[in-house]
Amino acid sequence: MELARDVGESANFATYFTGSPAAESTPHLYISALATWSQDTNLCHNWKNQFSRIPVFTHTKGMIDLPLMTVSARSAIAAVAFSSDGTQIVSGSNNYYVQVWDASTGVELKKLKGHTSWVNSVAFSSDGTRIASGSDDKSARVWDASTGVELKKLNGHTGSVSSVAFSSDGTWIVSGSYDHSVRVWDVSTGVELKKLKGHSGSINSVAFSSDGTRIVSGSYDKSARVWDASTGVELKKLKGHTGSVSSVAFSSDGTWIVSGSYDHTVRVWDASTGVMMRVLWCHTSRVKSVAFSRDSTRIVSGCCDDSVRVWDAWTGMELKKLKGHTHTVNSVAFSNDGTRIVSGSEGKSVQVWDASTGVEMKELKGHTGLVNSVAFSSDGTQIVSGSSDNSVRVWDASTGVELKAMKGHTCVFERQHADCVWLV
Amino acid sequence: MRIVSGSSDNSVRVWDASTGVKLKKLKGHTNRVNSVAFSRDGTRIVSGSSDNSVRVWKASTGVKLKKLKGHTSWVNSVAFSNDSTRIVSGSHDHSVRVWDVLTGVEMKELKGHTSWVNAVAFSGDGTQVVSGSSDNSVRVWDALTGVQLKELKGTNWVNSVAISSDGTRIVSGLSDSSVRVWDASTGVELKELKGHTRSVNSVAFSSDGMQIVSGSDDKSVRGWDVPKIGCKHLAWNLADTNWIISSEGQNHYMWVPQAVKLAPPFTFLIISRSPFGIVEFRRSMIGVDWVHCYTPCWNRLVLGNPTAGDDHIVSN
Repeated sequence: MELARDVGESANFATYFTGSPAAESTPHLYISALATWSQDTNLCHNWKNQFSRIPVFTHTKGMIDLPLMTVSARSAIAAVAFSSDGTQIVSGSNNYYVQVWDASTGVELKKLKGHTSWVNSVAFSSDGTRIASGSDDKSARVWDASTGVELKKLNGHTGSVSSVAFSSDGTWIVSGSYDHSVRVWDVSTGVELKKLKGHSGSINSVAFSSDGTRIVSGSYDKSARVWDASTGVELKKLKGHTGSVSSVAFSSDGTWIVSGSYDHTVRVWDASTGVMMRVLWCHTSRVKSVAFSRDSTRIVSGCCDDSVRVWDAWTGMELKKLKGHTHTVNSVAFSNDGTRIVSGSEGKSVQVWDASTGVEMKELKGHTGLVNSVAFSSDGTQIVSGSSDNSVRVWDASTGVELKAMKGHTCVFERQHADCVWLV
Repeated sequence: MRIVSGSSDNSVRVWDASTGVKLKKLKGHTNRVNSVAFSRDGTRIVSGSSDNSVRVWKASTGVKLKKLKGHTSWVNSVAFSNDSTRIVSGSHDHSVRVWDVLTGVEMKELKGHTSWVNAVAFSGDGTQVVSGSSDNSVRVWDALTGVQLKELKGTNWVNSVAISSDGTRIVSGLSDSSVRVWDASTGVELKELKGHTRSVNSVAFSSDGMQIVSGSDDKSVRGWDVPKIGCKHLAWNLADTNWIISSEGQNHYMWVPQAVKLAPPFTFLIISRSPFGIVEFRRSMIGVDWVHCYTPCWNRLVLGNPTAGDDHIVSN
């Protein structure tokens, strides 16, 4: 695991450097990036020992979590999201634009113009080809992510569109609005398929379950509701919050729902029974945004006290409090591989964080036989292992989570055939 | 190790610095105690009070030895000379007075300030007295003759003064939130240390005179490196782009992340609730010398240990 940790930190450091103004000048890889890279790890200490004459940077709080990257937009950021491959970030802001950023350099790649008021919500389709946005101009729009061309304008809502989300196959969009309705749209035709009514207040947040069968919505009426996506029937009403529900999301397996509220709590619910499973207290701060990591082990929340918090989804323990923003954090999201968090703030900046918490640096448990061969993926994010238990397993290099198990081999991997596992 | 404290409850207290236990309570003052100090040998305590008196106490027993009378208003500041034979006091009555500890006799009255004297100190050799006043000036006096030697004019109330032990530097803490360093012999202001955001109440030199510590109404304690002539790295500016640039604006020394609130130049320490990042270039190779920042283990001995006497390398 030492190696995986080093690789993870190296990847973080690479992002930290390439995403900073220091990247314009090679010496500043050492003089600026390394000098301000303060991790209490062997790797960091070793690097600094090699460069003993770089400036000395210390912090009064000791080791602090600095964002790996800070992208300055010229307007308050209302929404952020990663593309599914983690290479791009999309943001929506008060300047009416949807902007697409390179997730490793912070360079603006696209500016999508069309909305005539504040953009409240943005989303990438899972194949990365489409972007959806919702705006105070009462419309939701669909954009071609590569060309930046507006493909469809979804008209119908009679109030601001506060939230949009794609179904995982990319054929539907769900939108929530201040007109109290949730609507489902066909992406290719732009036709409104369903109108989900029941909430007695503005809708703040909507999301699809990953199988596309259900929709969850969070509302100013203090409730979250689960809907059948195809029939529009309300399946469950999640009651418990004592303030406006600002943000909702499904876990990737559809079992859990997480909700964030102005009542200072993050709550986890059983999606099928509607039973509240856990309450995470965000102290004195309103919660603006919540999301599950893809493996559902962690929850990230964006709070009005300018912090981004990472929680253990099962124990409810706060794993990290990331302070870097100077204003309310409006939107947070995990990258698909779970290594990064992106956050957008009132303070006109988008920040990218290392999502690893140290806690999840587990052994790669799973193999039931000797592990004969291991290899890294070329980008260092995954590890593949072959074992005498006749399986090949793929792991997330930074979290240690098993991503795939390929069983079916009938002969044992031999140590001398180490080359027989390879990741492309 | 003991600490002595004076309070607006009219008492002086002595504490064990390591355990925090109160050792003695010295009673006698009839108004709040504004200033206290130990003699260098640790046997005496002096206190100045708003009852217009200065009192000398035996540190071990807490017995009052002398009551020094003469000031006609509050005594704001008191200090011992290094040899523990004399006391200097500064008062609301605009005067500075020097006293003989043994006899309690007033040796000199130093007149000149036109407002409250807020702070006084002896030079290390005891020949000079320095005082700070609400007339915006710091004054240096001959402790024996009482003659004013220098007037260091400022623009705001002086709340605290200190003189380095070698007598070459004076530091003052001002109500305008600045800490100012002066050349004691010429009276020239060498540097304004900016960083505090509210009135600076207390300043002191480290014993080697290389560092200054200051305390402020902004709820922070800050440590500063005393600026040296010819050390360009200590002075820098933080540009909007979050680059630290040389004071002349020519060189980009270093980039720091936006999320870091950076302590101002010369700072080496901040004790504060709000977090700060601190950079130090003293031993670093920046500018054109950057290639030497790499010191692989195998030739570190050849290149020399960073601590070896070549501090403050200037490279542009």
